[in-house]
Amino acid sequence: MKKIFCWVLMMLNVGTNVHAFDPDQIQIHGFVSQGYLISDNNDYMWTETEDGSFQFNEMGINFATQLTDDLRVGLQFLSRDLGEIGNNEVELDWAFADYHFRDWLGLRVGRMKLRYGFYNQSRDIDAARTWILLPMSVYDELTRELYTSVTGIGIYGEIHGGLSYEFQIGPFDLDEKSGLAKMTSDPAREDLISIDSESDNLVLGLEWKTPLEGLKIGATYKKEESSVEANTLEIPPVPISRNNKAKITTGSVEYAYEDFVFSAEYRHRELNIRMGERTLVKDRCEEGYYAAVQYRFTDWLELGSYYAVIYADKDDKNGDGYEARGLPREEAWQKDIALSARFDINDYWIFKLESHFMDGLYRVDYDPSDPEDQWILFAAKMTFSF
Amino acid sequence: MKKGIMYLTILVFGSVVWGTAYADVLLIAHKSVPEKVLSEKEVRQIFMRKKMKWADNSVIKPAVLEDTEIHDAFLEQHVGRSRSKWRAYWKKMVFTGRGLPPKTFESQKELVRYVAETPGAVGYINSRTSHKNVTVISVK
Repeated sequence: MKKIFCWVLMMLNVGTNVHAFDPDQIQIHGFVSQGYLISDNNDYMWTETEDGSFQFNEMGINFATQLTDDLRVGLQFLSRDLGEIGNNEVELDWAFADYHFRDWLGLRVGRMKLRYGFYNQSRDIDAARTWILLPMSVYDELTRELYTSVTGIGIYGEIHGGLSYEFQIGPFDLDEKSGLAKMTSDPAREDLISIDSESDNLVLGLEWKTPLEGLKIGATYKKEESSVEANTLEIPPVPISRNNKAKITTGSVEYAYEDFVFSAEYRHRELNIRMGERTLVKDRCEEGYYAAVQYRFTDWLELGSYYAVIYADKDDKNGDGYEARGLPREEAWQKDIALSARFDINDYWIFKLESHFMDGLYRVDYDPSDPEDQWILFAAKMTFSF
Repeated sequence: MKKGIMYLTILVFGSVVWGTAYADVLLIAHKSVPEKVLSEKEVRQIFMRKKMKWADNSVIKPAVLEDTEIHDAFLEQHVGRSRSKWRAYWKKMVFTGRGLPPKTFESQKELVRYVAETPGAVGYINSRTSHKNVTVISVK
């Protein structure tokens, strides 16, 4: 399947005069990205960045058509690799039917991109943004399965006054190889059997395009629940189960003025992990935010920068709890100053360069004998899309 | 030196005047379309496919030109986006499954024919282009 997928993309890539394929109104679009990551210290995002890594790519192809005036159907296959995650296995990214009854009421059924913040639905679409990496303080890449897509039902619409809404309900696509499985299960202590999403996960997103031209404000509420089944490594093994619950609230604002775009987002994630039915293992509140500015100088050059901050627990921003457990207090936060340059070579090719000046060790794979909390990550990425 | 500045002035202002004349965009629609006047906001929503129904609940079928000066002028005047932002917007919509881009035409003649023959269709042309059998939409 993987070979066929790559072959189709390569065939469509041949030639210079590339257009979306449109026989009988079936549209085909695709993209291929290849990136490189390197850091001066620490590994990041399940990737051996300290050694430099090319395990950073995405490929996608989609097919969509308007069946009737009101009914559109489509699907997209996605293959990606990010260090230990993805490994270029082809997966169904989205596949849904969209019935647009009125401008204020539409219905989507199937697997669809999850509404979360302003930029989550396009998080894998490199061509849609300036950055290579979205601010990790709001768009967590380590547990991305919780944010990419939901399989179920979505209702959406544009109401008068510039207000739009979207409601989605259904399970997420989790498996034992996912980043969330790695985050929630310790292979040194247990043998993971399964990780499953509950079916009543839900998201409600609101967006208001204000009367001020270019200014929009949004909010999202997301409720997620998953369960983990595992056996301890003791002999005989003891079965254990855990239940992970989270409530996430985001607030977003974006202001586009001429060739500037200013944006800021805030995320509040209330997390409860329980062993069995009752025993509380963890109860904390993650807090993250960022502010960003981007400017398009010419048709081919855009520059941007953001400052992103995330705290593992908003009640322990200084890391006292970590220090009490014998860990570096810098594990309590991650602060990131990013500088990005995007070069639009032509309509189909984009090249990006990005530096991240990092402070902190939250969600960072560091050497415990020599933790380095001030470090730099550099990223480069080339994307072709049609 | 003075002559040089004069020529430069003529060149700059001349090109602005020429550019303005060329960029005189006319919005046209199929004769069955109930709206004859649209607000700037409605035009933007239609071509970004945020507004997909006319007042009588019939489907809006927007049509655009391939990358040309008239296309750039339309985007600048009525959508408030540069060509690169327009492309980025549609890539985002297409790759998230949230929408298909408007039908694209190589020439204004083809676009006029499509609008004239397709109920619900709306597009734009240079005002000097022949536009029989279509309705001209005013933008307030």
